[in-house]
Amino acid sequence: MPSLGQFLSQAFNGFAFGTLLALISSGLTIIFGTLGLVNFAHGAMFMVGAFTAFVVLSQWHSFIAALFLGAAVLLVLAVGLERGVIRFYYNRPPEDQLLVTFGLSVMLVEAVRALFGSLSQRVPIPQWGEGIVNFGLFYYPLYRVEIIGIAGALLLGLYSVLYHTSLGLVVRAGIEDPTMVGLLGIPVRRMFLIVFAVGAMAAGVAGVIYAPLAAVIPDMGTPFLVEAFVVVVIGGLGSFGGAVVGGLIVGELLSLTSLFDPAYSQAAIYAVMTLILVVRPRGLFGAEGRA
Amino acid sequence: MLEVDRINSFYGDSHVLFDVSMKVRAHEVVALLGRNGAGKTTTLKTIAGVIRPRSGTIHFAGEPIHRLASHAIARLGLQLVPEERRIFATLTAEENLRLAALTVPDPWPVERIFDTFPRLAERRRARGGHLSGGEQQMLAIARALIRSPKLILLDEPFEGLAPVIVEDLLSLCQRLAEAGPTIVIVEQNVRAALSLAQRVYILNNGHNVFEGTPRSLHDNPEVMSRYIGVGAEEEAI
Ligand SMILES: Nc1ncnc2c1ncn2[C@@H]1O[C@H](COP(=O)(O)OP(=O)(O)O)[C@@H](O)[C@H]1O
Ligand SMILES: [Mg+2]
Repeated sequence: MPSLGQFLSQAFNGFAFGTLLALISSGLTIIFGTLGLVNFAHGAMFMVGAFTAFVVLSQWHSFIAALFLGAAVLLVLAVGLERGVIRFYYNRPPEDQLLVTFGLSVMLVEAVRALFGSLSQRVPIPQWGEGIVNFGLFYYPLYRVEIIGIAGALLLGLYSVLYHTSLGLVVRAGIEDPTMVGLLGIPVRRMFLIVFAVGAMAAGVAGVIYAPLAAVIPDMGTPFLVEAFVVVVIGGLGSFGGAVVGGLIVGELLSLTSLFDPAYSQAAIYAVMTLILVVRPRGLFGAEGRA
Repeated sequence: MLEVDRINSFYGDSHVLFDVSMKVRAHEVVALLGRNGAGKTTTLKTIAGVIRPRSGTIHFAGEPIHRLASHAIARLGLQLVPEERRIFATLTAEENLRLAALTVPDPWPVERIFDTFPRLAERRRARGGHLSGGEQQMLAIARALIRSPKLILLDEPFEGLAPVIVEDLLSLCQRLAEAGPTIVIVEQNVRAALSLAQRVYILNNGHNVFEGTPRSLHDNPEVMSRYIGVGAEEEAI
């Protein structure tokens, strides 16, 4: 049996990882909820964020610059992809969306591989994140504690935008009924572009934050994509609160099960997802009636 | 004010409107009647830009609008109140109104809406999904009014509501009509529609089959029973 210290330390890991997953998943869920788009390129956007962090941090050693540039790179990428490709797929069947976004994802991954190679890049932990915190029962890396704060603050920011601004009002209405939003004089297409960009930026910024903890490789987005989909299904499609709670649940599940046997941690999240779908098909916070 | 000229609308391959035309003058109330499936909703949706006509033209206040997106048409002051009401269930009543007011330069103040609909004032913080059918219909009309539109298209505003509420809404619509905006109303409740309207159009299987005043419709019981139904005829007399 693991000791209490080990257990708490893993629970903390789960919390840190969960907030990060929540950030990625919130992007995925608002894109799905508003645009009805199954975005298989979301993991690649996370990866692009991580590589931006690699480039910026190895050049200028400024984490703040990495955050802003990560967001900026994703903004440009998202606008280009939405205008150039994605917008033609909003009303297409999910299998078409899946294929085209998967294709975009492969292109992004291979483009990054062509630029940086397949070898894992190390991204240094920022200076203010170096060191270890003593929590009494266990020691814990400072940067992971800070991740909770940074990702939490970004989630709070996203929440404020979604729930306390006109843009948020439009997005929440658009998740329910984009046609009616258009009938009220609001240009739905432009709103779709904004939502896609915000969702992509959430993934990219999560990539920046996670980069110092991970092996930064072109394929790094794939497991995150899969886990984010599990989070979105557990939390309820299109629900921001669902993405946050789902992210924390999946983060803890992955961490705590690996305390016993890492081989079971993937199985555990699917087991919980299935269980939740059986008891509550629309997920924990999913709106009624939305498939 | 509104001029619909020989429009043809489709859902995919199925041809639903055949050369439908209609004219609405400023400050007029026009009823659009016909059996279920006649194409009334499709006509309103085409005017509002939800469906694009494959041929024909629509002019609103002199401007061609048949190629515009629905948001651009709404900004010109033409407001559809759709059949399904389409209240945002997760937004509060007040948020539904604020959203509607976002893109108008001179919206009604929310308080004026609440003076007009005291029932909505009581429910302003309730989520759209928790409102009763009657309250949702009021909110759907209020959401149009807050945009101070020049033309309102009402699609079956009395459908599925208790008679008492229908009476309420009807008198509201009467006051509304006197206050100035132009109204096109589609209703199964023919008596209610005819009590509001100055002119009537009837559609059948996507074709224009009658145009006239409520009076001339009364004088034409054959048109009434053929295109609206016996039940409606009795109701209208
Ligand atoms: N979304 C749709 N897809 C295909 N056919 C439709 C759709 N909506 C309506 N129709 C068909 O178009 C015709 C006209 O419908 P509609 O305009 O709703 O009639 P009304 O409002 O007069 O009852 C009907 O035959 C109906 O079955
Ligand atoms: Mg109808």
